[in-house]
Amino acid sequence: MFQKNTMPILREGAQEAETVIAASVKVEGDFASQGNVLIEGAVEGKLSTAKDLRVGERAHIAADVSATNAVVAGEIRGNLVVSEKLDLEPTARIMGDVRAKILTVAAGAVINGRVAMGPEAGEPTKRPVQAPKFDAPKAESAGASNEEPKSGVFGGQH
Amino acid sequence: MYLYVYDSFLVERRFERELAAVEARLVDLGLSGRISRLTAFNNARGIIRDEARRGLQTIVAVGDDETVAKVIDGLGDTAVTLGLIPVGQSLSIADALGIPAGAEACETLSRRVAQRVDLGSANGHLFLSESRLVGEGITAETDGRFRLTVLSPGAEIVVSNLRNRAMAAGLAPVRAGDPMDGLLDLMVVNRGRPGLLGRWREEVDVTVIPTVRASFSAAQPFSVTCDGREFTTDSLAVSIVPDRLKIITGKERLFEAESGA
Repeated sequence: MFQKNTMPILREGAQEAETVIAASVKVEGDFASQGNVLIEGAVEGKLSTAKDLRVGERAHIAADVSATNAVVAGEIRGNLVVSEKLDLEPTARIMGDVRAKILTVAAGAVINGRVAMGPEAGEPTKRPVQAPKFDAPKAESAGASNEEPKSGVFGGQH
Repeated sequence: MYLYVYDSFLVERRFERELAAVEARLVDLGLSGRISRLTAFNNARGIIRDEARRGLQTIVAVGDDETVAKVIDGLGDTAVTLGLIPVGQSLSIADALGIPAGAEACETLSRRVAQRVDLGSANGHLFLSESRLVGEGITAETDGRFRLTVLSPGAEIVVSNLRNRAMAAGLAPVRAGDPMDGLLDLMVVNRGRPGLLGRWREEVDVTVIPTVRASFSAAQPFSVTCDGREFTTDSLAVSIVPDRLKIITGKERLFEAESGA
């Protein structure tokens, strides 16, 4: 005697996902989608979507990932590029570089890599914004120079 | 001109009354036509080929899901409109198309609201609803880009084009599927495994990957059931055949219709 239960686990966001990779499968290769994607299983290779991505708590992704918006609660070993908003939930673990236009990181989330944010950071073709070096030459401006004033209103002989 | 293809099981006495009601209603609606019966000595492909030469425009499958499968698999390159009069036990395809069983289906047929839908092809066999794979260690490659491995031994692989009502409800909130989107849904349904006292775990997870084509292979031959028709193979190639079939549908169909179709 057994109980039939055909109702799947309700996952937040699943009703809007065109592609769902559940915990019982593993995907290897170049996975590209035009719609919303929900990952609860394992993905290796490359993962990209033109729309939104949700990485569940049990997901293990060993791939470079790109999406328009993303909510991550699982593990990603690879670089993550999000052109709009990226939310890292408390169970998120990112082992790679992160680039996003807007980034929120919940307490407990782990990022081991470089992080770039802002309007240009989420562009997939742009390089990560470099932090300024301490010995970079100072920018020249009208009142900032320490040089002797040139002849004129301030340095001229009266 | 209508051709009514009766499945062989309809000769049983228990279907007499229902068929009589169907035939009377068809006459009332002015939908009478030729009748061909599937037997052990003929097949849908031959019947359709012969009738197509006579200018056949509409085939009506009278029977269950397997009847629909036989007729669709027999279409070949023929461009006809398909109708259904559902009679029998397994009527999930008719249900998905919004066609009621028995004599009520004649009203749907008379309204002649038709949609152009995709079909799937599994090793050359055309199917409307799904191909179901059963076997151990089956791996899938989709669109030549990535490989999918099923990790749970009890999981079921289904390549779905048109989902019936029960399956759509059981898989909610995963998207319902669309037979007009030019895509097949590669699905892996894991219903858990038996626990103590034979009780199944309540946890079910479903993978859904839209794809244009997929290939399946395994070390051992596996069983494939295309809309109720079963065969065994050790490799399977599945692909979408977009906009292949014009089919008459009812108001309660499970997918959005295109206007003017």
